[in-house]
Amino acid sequence: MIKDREMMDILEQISGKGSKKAADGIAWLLGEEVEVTTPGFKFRDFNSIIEELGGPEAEVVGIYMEALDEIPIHVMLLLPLSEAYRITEQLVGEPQSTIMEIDDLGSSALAEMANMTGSHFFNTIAEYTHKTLRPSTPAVMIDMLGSILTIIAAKTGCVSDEVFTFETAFARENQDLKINFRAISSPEVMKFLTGDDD
Amino acid sequence: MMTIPVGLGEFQISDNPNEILTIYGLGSCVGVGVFDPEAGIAGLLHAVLPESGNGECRSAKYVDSGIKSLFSALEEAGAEEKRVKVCLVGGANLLTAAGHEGSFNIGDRNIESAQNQIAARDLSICGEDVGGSIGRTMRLYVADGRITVRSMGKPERDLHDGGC
Repeated sequence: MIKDREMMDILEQISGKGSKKAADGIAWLLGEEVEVTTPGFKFRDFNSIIEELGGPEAEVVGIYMEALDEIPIHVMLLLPLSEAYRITEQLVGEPQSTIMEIDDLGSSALAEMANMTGSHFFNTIAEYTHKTLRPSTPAVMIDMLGSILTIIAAKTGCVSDEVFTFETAFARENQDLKINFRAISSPEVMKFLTGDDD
Repeated sequence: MMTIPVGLGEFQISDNPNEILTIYGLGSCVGVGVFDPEAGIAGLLHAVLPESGNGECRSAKYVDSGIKSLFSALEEAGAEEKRVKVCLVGGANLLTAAGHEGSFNIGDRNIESAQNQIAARDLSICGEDVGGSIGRTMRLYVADGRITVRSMGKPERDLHDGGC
């Protein structure tokens, strides 16, 4: 629960502006409009995040990045397999419905999309916090959602305990499926985001 | 049959033969399945990190304290440690992309911690499907202690039939 009004304002601005910039990055890559849906932030436990995104056995493409340096925050971009295939076709210039697996070229294209998204989001956090957030290289994984997301659970050490998340999704023009975006950190990140670490 | 999901940092025990204890989507976490065939009691732990760093901690989040808690609960329910069969699943490393390799060997550390905890109890491990870079779903059938493993795009297969 975040009670302080000033703190809420900062988090709302990071969430809104960061999500918008991240969406602009994807839109630029895809060459089409990308809409941000329901940007927000909250404290929650990991099992609820996994359930909300389709359950631990859902087969997905997950692209992971972390901020190196001053603020420990982890970003995961999650796409259903079918959506990942369609976006890969668009990114690498293949005809529609021809890609049925993610090869090295597709993986690079998806990594670039995550790079755009994660970097823009990290830049927004840096802008508000005056901290350095150097993005790691993106790691593309195709597996069960639970297997992929628990990387962050293990890295933050938070499991049954709550984590802090920025959450949003990106919807492509005239498409039903969404690209889910989660920036996750341990609750201690609040002191960096709100300037209480000095 | 009823599936009982075992979430991150949790364990479940059961003596109901109609239940299947299940961990969906194990990645670097390790699943420790324990079955006492005489008592018909099964337990499954879903641990995330290798060590609690605190001998008194009973959290199932950690392999060491989780195994202690699991065995305590099994004994309270009527299982006897000398009769149990133990299996390990998980401990994968999905972060194999350039720039991430070697940076996060939590899967290996989880496996090692579990193996050490089991050996310290003078128990042997009846079946293992550990390591690699793939996620797994682990099921423990309470009726007979059978353990199965499934990976993405592959069928469920038997790891262990309940005996050693």
